[in-house]
Amino acid sequence: MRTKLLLIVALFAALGSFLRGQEPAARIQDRLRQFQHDLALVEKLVNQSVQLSLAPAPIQCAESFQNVAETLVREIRQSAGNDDEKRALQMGDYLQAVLSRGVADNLIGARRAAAGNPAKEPEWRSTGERTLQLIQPLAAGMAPPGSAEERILEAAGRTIRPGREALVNIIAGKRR
Amino acid sequence: MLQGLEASDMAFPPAPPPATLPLRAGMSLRNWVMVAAGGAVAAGILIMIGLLLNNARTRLDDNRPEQDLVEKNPHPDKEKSKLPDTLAGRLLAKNFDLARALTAEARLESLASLALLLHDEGRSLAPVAGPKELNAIADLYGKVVEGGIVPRARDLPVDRRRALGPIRNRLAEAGKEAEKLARAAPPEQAEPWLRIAAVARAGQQQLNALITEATP
Repeated sequence: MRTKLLLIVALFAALGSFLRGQEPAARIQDRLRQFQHDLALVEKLVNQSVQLSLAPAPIQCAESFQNVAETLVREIRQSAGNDDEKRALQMGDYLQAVLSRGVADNLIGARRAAAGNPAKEPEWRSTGERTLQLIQPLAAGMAPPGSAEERILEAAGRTIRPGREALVNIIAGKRR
Repeated sequence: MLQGLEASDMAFPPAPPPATLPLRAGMSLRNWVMVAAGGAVAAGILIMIGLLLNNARTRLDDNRPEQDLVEKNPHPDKEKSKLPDTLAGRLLAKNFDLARALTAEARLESLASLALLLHDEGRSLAPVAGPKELNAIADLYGKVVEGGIVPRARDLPVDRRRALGPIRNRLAEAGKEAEKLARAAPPEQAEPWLRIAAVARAGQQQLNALITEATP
């Protein structure tokens, strides 16, 4: 009887450690796939970090994030074309953050820095307008109607709506 | 007089019988073993249930991107700026910090934690990654240390170089760990780790020289 109980305990312990070992392995594989997919973006972000460490002016920071936004829009369109909704939406999350915390925040800084200097105003305004043009392909009507591509682009467009609105407000002279 | 007291009602009552172990006192060794084994089995079952619930929760979370946030939106606005918990998401968050940083020390700190992110990613991926991925990480690590941390450290005024101490120590640790990983890795994977180790060591030495210059 005692032996049987000990065997059961050993079995549970072995099964527990097996399950513990399995989960991280699957997660590491997922992480590797993600790394492989994101490598170009990761390289871009590392280059950007070196640039940003030079303490550029807010307008240059906004332009740097606009550049990242351009890459992300391309990725979203490509993923939508490949019917890869999960990736398109993940890129949409990145883009939303870039528009809001990257471009918009720095445009506010640039607008503040340009206050009282009308010659500087077109600089930040045109960066904002260029960014809005950049994300235009995510609006409805840029893919065959009723297609999966259109549905995915619309979903990504919804994800970035707050960032887009923030840019529109900044250009209109509002706070955000 | 004592005899009188003993005989009277004032005498001390007899001491209570010694306490005995309730119920279990008569258990045999065999019974104790059975109880202990039963307890171990129950604990094993509880651990199993915990593990299964944790796995189920993790899988559920994987299907809900909203849960994979690296940070809550720090914005006062109600807008969403969530970032997926991936290397790209974490790098992006560091870049937002870099753009917001007000001092050279804060920028250096962001770069140092960015280098650490890359090092950690390499270590996590090492069991499954090929030389291509590890070489990419080594290149990126080199860019951050050689193209970011060291030049920005040089830009730091002499009287503010005290801030370099913790970053130098982190580079030293990263170098040691990379050497350890290189020793444990198969030959084709050892090379990127050796490169990371060399970059970290060189960075550590350069920061050390800058700190020494500033020490009276």
